[in-house]
Amino acid sequence: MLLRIFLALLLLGGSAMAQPALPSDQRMDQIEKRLEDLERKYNQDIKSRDEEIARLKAQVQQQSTTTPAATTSTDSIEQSRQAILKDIESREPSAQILRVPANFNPDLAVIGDFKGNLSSLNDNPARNRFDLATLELEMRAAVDPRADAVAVIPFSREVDDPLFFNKADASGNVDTGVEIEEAYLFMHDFGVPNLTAKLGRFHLRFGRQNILHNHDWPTVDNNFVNQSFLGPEALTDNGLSLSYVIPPQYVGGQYIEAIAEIISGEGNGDEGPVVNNSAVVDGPALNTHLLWNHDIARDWNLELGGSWLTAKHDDDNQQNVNLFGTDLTLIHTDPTGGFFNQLIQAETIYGDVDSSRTDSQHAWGAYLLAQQQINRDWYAGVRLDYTENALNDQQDVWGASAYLTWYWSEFLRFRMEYQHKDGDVPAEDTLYFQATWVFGAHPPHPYWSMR
Amino acid sequence: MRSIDCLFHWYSSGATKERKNEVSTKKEIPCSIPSCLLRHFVPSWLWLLFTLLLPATFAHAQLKIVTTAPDYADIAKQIGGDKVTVHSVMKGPENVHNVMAKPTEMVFLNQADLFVHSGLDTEPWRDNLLKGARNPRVLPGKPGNVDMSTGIELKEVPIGKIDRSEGDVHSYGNPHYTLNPQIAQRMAVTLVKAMCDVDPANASLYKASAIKFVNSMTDLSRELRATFAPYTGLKVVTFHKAWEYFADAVPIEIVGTIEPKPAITPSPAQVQQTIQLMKDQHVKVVICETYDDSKLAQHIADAVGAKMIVLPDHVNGVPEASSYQELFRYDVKKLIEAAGGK
Repeated sequence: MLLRIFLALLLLGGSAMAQPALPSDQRMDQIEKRLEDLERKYNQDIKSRDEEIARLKAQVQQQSTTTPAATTSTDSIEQSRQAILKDIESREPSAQILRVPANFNPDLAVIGDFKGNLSSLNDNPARNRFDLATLELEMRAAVDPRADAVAVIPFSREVDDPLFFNKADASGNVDTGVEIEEAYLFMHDFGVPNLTAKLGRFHLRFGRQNILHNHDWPTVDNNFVNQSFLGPEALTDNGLSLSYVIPPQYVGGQYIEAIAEIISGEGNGDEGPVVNNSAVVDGPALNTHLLWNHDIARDWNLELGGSWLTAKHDDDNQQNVNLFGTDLTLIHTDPTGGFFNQLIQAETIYGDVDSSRTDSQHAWGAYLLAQQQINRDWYAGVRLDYTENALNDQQDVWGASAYLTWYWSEFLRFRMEYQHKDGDVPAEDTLYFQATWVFGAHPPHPYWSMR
Repeated sequence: MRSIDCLFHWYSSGATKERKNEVSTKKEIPCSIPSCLLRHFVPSWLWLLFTLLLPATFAHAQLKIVTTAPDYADIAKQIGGDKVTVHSVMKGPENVHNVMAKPTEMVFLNQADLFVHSGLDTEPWRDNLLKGARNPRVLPGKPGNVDMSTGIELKEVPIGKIDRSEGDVHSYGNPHYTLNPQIAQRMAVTLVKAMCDVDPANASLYKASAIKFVNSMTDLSRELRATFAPYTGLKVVTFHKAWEYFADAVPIEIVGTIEPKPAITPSPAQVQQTIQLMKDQHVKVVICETYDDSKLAQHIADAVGAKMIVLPDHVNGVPEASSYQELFRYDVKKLIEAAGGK
């Protein structure tokens, strides 16, 4: 309607300017005629457009009922074209699309452990030197929905450093080698509730620190009692380890774990002080461990454990070894959520070890460790050691150590430790230095390591 | 199975006459020795009691949920109400990356129907806890294992080769996604689906509560924006890269972090660089998480005349942050106070 009025006014104006000489009635007739012509033409245009719109609508409707995908894909193709054209015009770099690689490689970590020391005991060839003690390869992966596999293969380079040092036995040879420290299947879900199993070669669950790898010790060196009874680093063996958590509802909501291990009884071979057999020894050995873990308060956690190991000694089926151990771990966690945590840990071992077919040694030993985490990166602690020689209960050694640990990050750590050692061994004062680094996947820590 | 059926059928009938009839019928059905022994030696009233109590026990059984972080525990409580029992391994103020997974936590997880966690590589201690708990229902891939990162678009996803020169970098991207109410809506969807799967009897209740929670998150998002509107673009320095998702919900501008790389303590030179950055950018607020070194954060703030505030990044990080909603209200209140508002 507005259009028609506008056109009428336009024509009126135009006619007035173009034909001023015509009489007024004639002019009005001409205008009327032209208006009628225009209206007719306008109506025809509208009609033809309405017809065209109706035809297109019918066409679209027909297409949407027969080929909906084609319409959608045409739209998306057009959108894609527009996006590409827009991208060509843009000065921004093309958008990155993340490609997530999928593979079956295991979690892989390489752990370097570099140690050095300065000591007053020059007679000991393991003192006043530094060396890459171990370079350890750790691999972990699931091999089945119900089982994981673990392999720990250290490459070591060390000088023999016995706890009960004797100058006459010192060779000074630098031992290099590779060994299978651990390689086992861990079956975590094989149908028996609360029961898990390890099958292969593993650290025995005797006490608390024997299950640790060297680089996980809170101190540079191993505690004395474990060195005297279990081995310079740890007691490992081949066999089956079963671990059962008693259903908490039957024991008042407590965490009680029982471990039984049937092992070949060969131990670490020559390295082992008491479980030191070769393949000629008969029968398996048995190790058992029972632990109770309890929150004694909101921020205090206590763990008590007991262990018993029975095996043979010196490749002689007539010589028996019985080791009895107790352990305690007490943790106080920072209630503010910070890192001011405290740890107290103690272990004792009593041994009934046949040193010959007619003689038995009844030795014991213990350590007490106290550690303070100062902040996220710094730890300080002391360790007191006393132990008798598991193979000679008339010989003992004691030590006092203080250490400071500095984590640059989760994967790089430096440690200093001062140790005074005395007893039925040459007295010595030693300053240890250690640098430990990890590259690769994040290795799991024991819960009390405070990392 | 047949013998158990026959026992239940028999002992659940009340009348003595009927019982006698049933006994005579049952004699014709062969059944196992233990069930026959039970029939003869266990008093019938005991079985009746058992029969009555058994359904009642199941009717009142609550869904047991163990979560890594208290944020998930609070959302689970808001969705599940009295139909769930919830336990969080992390109490609130700790660093989610450094929680001590004690064996006592395994006691809770041993009996859990759902284990709700952050997924990704947020909780390196999680696997030890899972393996120690001996609960196949909550192992990865099982319906009881709930990964709250599902469906969430992460920020700062590393591209190309990564290594430890980037610090304790997270290979999947920034994992602190809980600090955004809009993301909490997605988390609620993930959680409620898992709850409905393992407890279909209460599914309609869970869904209704989840919808209510999602709506409350929309309200919270609007509330936060409105409350913080006068301070939009407030420049801050944070200790850890934990506030990137928060900055989407509460419009702060994160200019830098005190940690030069994730989980790396700064050297004195790097501290000076942060101070210089704050001077150049006129930053007036330093955010320190509850678990980080507030003394260092205060030192940096003092050097430029800024204000240092300790903010919780998880529920129960401070007593006032007693729920997911209150966590945000507390953090925004503290930010406004630091910016000079009231």
